[in-house]
Amino acid sequence: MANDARVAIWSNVPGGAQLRISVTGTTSTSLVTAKALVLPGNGEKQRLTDTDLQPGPAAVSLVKSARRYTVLLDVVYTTDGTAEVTAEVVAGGNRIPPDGSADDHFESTLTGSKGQSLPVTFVVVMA
Amino acid sequence: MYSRIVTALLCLAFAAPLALAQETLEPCADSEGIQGCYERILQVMTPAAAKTADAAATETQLKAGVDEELKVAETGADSGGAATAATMNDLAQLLNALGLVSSGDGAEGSKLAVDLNFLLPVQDVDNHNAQLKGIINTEAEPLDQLVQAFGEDVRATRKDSLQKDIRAVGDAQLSFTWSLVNSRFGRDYSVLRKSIAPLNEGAVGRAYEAVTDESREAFGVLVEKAARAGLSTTAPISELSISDDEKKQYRADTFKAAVDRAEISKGIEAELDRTRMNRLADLVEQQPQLLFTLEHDFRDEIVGPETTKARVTWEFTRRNFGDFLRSKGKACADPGVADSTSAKYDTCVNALQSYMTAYGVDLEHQPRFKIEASFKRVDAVTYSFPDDGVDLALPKHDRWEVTVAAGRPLSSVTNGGRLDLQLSYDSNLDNDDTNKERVTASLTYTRRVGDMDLPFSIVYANKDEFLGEVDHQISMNFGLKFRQPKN
Repeated sequence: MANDARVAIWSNVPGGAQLRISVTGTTSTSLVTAKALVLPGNGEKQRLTDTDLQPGPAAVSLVKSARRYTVLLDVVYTTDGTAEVTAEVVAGGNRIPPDGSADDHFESTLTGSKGQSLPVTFVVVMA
Repeated sequence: MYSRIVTALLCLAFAAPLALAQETLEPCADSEGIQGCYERILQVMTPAAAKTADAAATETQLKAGVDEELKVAETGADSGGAATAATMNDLAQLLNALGLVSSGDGAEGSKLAVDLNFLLPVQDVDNHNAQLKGIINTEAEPLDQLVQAFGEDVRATRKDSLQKDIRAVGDAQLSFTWSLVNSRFGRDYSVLRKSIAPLNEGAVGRAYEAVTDESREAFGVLVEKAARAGLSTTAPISELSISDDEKKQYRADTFKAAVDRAEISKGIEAELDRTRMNRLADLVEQQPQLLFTLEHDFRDEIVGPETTKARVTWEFTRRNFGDFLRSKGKACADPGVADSTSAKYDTCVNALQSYMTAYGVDLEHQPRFKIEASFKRVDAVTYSFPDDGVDLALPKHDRWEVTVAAGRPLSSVTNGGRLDLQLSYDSNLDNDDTNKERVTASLTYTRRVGDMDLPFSIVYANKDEFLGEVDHQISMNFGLKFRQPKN
């Protein structure tokens, strides 16, 4: 179900899983862009550009040795608009639901105004 | 060095508001979980815009755009006052509106416009760069030349009789408009995204430079710590099986991590403001438009001959996004601007600041220009009423029409008045007496009072019959036109 959530946490995720993030929002009359910074607990940080994310999905391979991933996603509104942000963690072809969520993936609808930036944070803790 | 100075300034600019936010924000409550508290603080410090207000504004813009287009469709190029609407036509807002009804004033009849975009390929409709539209004149009248051909004693009777013979769709128009969309023309953000996204990414990156690695990762570290300790991040902190001191520490750490995260968003907004990137949309709204239109009038013979028209319209302003990229902002076209640590980002930002300082204050009040050329073919039509001695034959003829228009607000004050000049030339390609060469010009001053535009036009025509519906004729070639407020 769509909402305007800003955070999702996946804990106890097995190595080899994948985090997939998608953003949509740019239309002919509105411009919404996104950028994400992926910070592993152990390893090189990674940047996901608007081209990677929109429409996406941008995939981040999750390795056990990283211990955790902090993903800072920032949505920038060049015009008034609405961004749909979705994220899922997939292991062995199955989705792992975010902690405390009835859905098997994260989905958020973020309405912003011209010149605004809205943050979304994902944390993945490896098993 | 430069980036460090900017970073320091960003820190200073947001230190005070954030300190204030921390004072006024409710700390994490015992009943909240780590995730719940973090979520709440982000929602409070970086609230989303109201959806309902946004949707209502979009709807209003769409309706206004359609109304403007219908004004153009009804008045035509040779009527005074048309330039106001014609040079401010925003196709992007207009297109894809579902069928809407619009009533013109008594002189021009009532017209029903129906959006027929569902007949077009989905891609064209989604891109808002094409429109197929039907317009039905619900108050079609017999051709004036035909009515005048009857004797004066039977003219009114015959006109009423002819009027009854006109079908419900006896005066209809099918119109297809296509807008060229690329980096130079059109205002389609799905096309311009590739030019603007790297700038936004650079601004995001610059805001991150003001934040330490520790604060970027604070929430991830906190969540991992809880998860490794077997603690739920969604359960209330009060229910966690840890000491009170540890609970207090989790509440404090969660609060700080959320405020730090919101601080980054505020920093991005500050960078967008500093660099003027938050006004890029204003530049895009000034982009030139190149429109191609094909129209055909389907008419009962009594209403007049069928006509086919092909038209090219170029609407432009001097200062716009494309002009920026081609002049001062050449550096912004380099994908390297997405890297905030590169000199390319600063070069681009300096160019944007310079351009907006020079031209950005009054963008929406700059002069707008329109050049339009069209070719029209009017079919032949013959009328024969032997009992009334009427035998009227109107030959097929072709016309070239060229219109040049310019307009600008007279002041930057809202509703401060607007001046528009329009010059039209309508050729006589067939060189016959019934199709005279036309030259018309109009100078229109429009003042907005409340919700109404009140235009006042001085109209010139090379022949008095081409003056059209003027409210006061000054001489053979000059007239005054003003539209009374509608109730």
